[in-house]
Amino acid sequence: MVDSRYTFANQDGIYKDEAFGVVASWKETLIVFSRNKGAVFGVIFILLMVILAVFGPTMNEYTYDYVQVDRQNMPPRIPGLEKLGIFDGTTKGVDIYELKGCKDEYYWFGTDTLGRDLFTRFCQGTRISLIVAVISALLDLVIGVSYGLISGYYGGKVDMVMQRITEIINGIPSLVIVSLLVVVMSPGLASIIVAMTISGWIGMSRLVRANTLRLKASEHIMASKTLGTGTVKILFKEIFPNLLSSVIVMAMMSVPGAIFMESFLSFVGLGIPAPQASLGSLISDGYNHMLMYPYQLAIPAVFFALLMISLNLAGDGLRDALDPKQKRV
Amino acid sequence: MLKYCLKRIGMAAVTILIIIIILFFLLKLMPGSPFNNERLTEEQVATLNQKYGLDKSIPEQILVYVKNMLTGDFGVSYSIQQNYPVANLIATRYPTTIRIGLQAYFLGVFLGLILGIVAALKHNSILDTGTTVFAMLGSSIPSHVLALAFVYFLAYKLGWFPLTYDSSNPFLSSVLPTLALAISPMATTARFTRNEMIEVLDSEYILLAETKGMSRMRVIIVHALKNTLVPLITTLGPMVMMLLTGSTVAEQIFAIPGIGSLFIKAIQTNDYNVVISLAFIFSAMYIGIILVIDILYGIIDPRIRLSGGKK
Amino acid sequence: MEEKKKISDEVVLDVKDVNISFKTTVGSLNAIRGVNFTLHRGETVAIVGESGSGKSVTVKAVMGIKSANERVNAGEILYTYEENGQKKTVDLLKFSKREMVEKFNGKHIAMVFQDPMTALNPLLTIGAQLTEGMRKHLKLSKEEAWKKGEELLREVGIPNPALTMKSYPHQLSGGMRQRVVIAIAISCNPDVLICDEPTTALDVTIQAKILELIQEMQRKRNISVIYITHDLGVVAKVADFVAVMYAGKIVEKGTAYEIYFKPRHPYTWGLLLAMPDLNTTDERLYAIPGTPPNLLKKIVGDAFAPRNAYALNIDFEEEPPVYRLSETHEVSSWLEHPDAPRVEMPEALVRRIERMEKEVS
Repeated sequence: MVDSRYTFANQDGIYKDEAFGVVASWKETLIVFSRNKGAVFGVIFILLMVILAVFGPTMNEYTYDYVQVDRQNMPPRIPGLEKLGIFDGTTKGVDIYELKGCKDEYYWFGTDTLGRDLFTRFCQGTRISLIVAVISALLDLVIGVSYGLISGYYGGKVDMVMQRITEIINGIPSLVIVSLLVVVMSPGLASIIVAMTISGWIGMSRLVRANTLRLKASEHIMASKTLGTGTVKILFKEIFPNLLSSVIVMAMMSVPGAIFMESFLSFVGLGIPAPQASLGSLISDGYNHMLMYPYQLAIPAVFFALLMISLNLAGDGLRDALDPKQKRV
Repeated sequence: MLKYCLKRIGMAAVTILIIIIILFFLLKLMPGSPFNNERLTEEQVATLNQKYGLDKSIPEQILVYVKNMLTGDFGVSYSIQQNYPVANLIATRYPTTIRIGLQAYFLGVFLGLILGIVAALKHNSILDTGTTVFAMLGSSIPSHVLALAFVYFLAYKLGWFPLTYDSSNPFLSSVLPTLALAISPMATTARFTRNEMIEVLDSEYILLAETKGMSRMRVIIVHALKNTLVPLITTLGPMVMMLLTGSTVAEQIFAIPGIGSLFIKAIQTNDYNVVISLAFIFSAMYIGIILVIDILYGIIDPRIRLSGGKK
Repeated sequence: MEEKKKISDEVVLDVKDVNISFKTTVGSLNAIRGVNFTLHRGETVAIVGESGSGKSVTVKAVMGIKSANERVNAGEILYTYEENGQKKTVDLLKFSKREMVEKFNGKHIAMVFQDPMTALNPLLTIGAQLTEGMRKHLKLSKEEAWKKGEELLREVGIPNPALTMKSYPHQLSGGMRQRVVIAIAISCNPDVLICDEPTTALDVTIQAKILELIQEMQRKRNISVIYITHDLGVVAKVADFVAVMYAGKIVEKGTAYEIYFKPRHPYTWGLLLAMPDLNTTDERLYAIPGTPPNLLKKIVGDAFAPRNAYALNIDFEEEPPVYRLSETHEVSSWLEHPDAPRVEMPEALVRRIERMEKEVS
């Protein structure tokens, strides 16, 4: 009696290739990203700022440019928190609200020298700063990616000329470029965005070009070429998807740079003209009264710092999560 | 090697030339500049024409302008100090900025190196996390915000340092600005060094050194360190850029009479000659420093030194 | 290749029941599931297997190179060496990395890496890297070590030793660099030399030369060598003993003669057939179908079963035991069970072996 265990299992040559517990790659990215506490904090804070930017200016009854001369320089007062002894509208023990006879009014972040509500101005400012930053980051992305793709893909003389141009533009400190442009074009939202875009796209184009050069020599691109696939199709279907993760990270990382530039310009007086507000201009205004009314500086400064940190944390986290070089086995 | 150097120097020279030309055209464009101000008298116009060759053709004007710039003739200030030579204005303020800048730079890089190396060695420890956090904060929070924080807490509240720059006490009053400016290069250096070193420590040649039986200390000092520091040189250039931006604002905050605050004042008062001249100086300094660093790198990295510039 | 190989009695390395896992983001990966082999003095052992079979992990364990997420679950690696005229036997797995570096690496056990491009420090001269080990382990002065270094370079066949000592790695070709790496490895007279795919990154023409070089060094200095490779063809000429690894276990091992001319495990057959052969008249190049198993999951039965055309039902239930076919030949396959059907080598393989025999004689 033959033991059936020792008979052939009759495999008909259907050899299944099992998936190795590989999670879909974007899902794995998400898992790694969410493990990074800093990155998660960053994203949460950014969302908070975005919410404030979108809904903030309409959250209370004041507008950002409503001037009330008799409500100058009021300290912050937040209902609820004031019971804890902070944000209770007092300066050095003196209840300013009582002094001015407006105990029923609340200015959550206080008011500035023109009596404008700082909370609304803060939210409005965040809105402007974020818009400026995102638009210039997007423009940098579009210009930088196209430039880099063309330069890297075509190579040869085209590449050489394009790179020389880049080197020259790079030789001028971006501070100088931005300042000069804003002076020539007179300050305003448009001129700031243009100025920041001009100096910012180079980093992106460098990254894209380097990756394009590397991918160009890779085998599957050469295979596509041999098969006769058109240039544009190669560029978009083969090369671009591989760049995507680095491009996203770089774009994300350029946002803090843009916000910084904008705040610098505001500080120097080249930023958004009054009565508009931006985070930078708020800091600049606050600086002028730093010693007398520190809250006017402290609040925007702290939020600004936190925003920058959050952007960097999130960007770093994203980069780490997308980086295939991570040694995970 | 020589080819490498010459190529770099050539590039730098061409860049500066092009920058001057761009600046020239910008100067022409700016409203109210000496080149197209309607309020001048006939005499003044004639003098200007003679000085800048305004009645000649554009290419000739460019030549005159280039020559002027390269020889240090920056024209006169328009609003900051009427008719005062810009070159003199700059000359008196230049040393202060440079001094504080260098102090901040070296302090920052030195501290950053130490921090970065230690963090890399104690990878994933508290120190490492702390360093990363610090580097993160230091490179995220712009130096002007930091400077403001410093001024507020250390100068105003605690009174340890003078609030503004006092030329009678140059050292003490430069402490705060130096510290504020040093944080950025320190953070950048620490972050870079840490990351680079961690990657180096992961290389196969480090593994080989270990399999050779080399002690940890030796591997770190002889193998890892060198391979970390050499790439670091490439970051030193861009750091100068950040320092430049930072010092502009820091000088404003601490009321330091340097070229940074001069630049801002000139922008705010539309003193174009000063603005353009300073733009030129900043660019020239930046390009010059990058050039020096590039050449230095070429000397140190044997892959470039010994094979004509091809890596 | 001789039919019966004289093996020295002296055991240098005894790897026993080693089991190693890695902790990953998606679970625990059991890379080595029970590996046994011995290395005798002066012998050359080749460990052959596909990528992911665990061969690299095994030898790295011998060297003491552990990743941060690596865990040794069981087993011993017993190393016998001479210290101050005394014979000592120690379990290498018990030592920390630092102890391994101080006591054994370089001095007793040396390693040659796969990629000569990245194995050398680009910023140090060849001389510096070559003399480092000698100055530490052999306590030579700088001048003595430098001189010895030049001799070593000459020995490994580098044409201009004096100049090469002062050169940097990027100035040498791949083959030259690998010779330097070999020189470094033997510079302190180790007992054991581990070569992890030493020729994979090199041109075919250079491959043979490098293997010959290693063999020559081995004979001169009576070193025991372990080769890691995925290509059976590479080690045909140099191996005394071959161990075939699959999914973290050794499935067949024996003398080179036994493995090449009398293989018994279907996986070994597959590997042999997969060697490209210029003389083959077969229509297509053979490749073992399917892919190695996912070691994140616990393996039930024989790991090779899903890809095995000769798999038995029991292969899916229980792991095959080890059958001894001769003093040196062992197979881990249910086909050796007395109740199992008699299976012969595929025709193509029989023909190939006949060709090989003709070549050898």
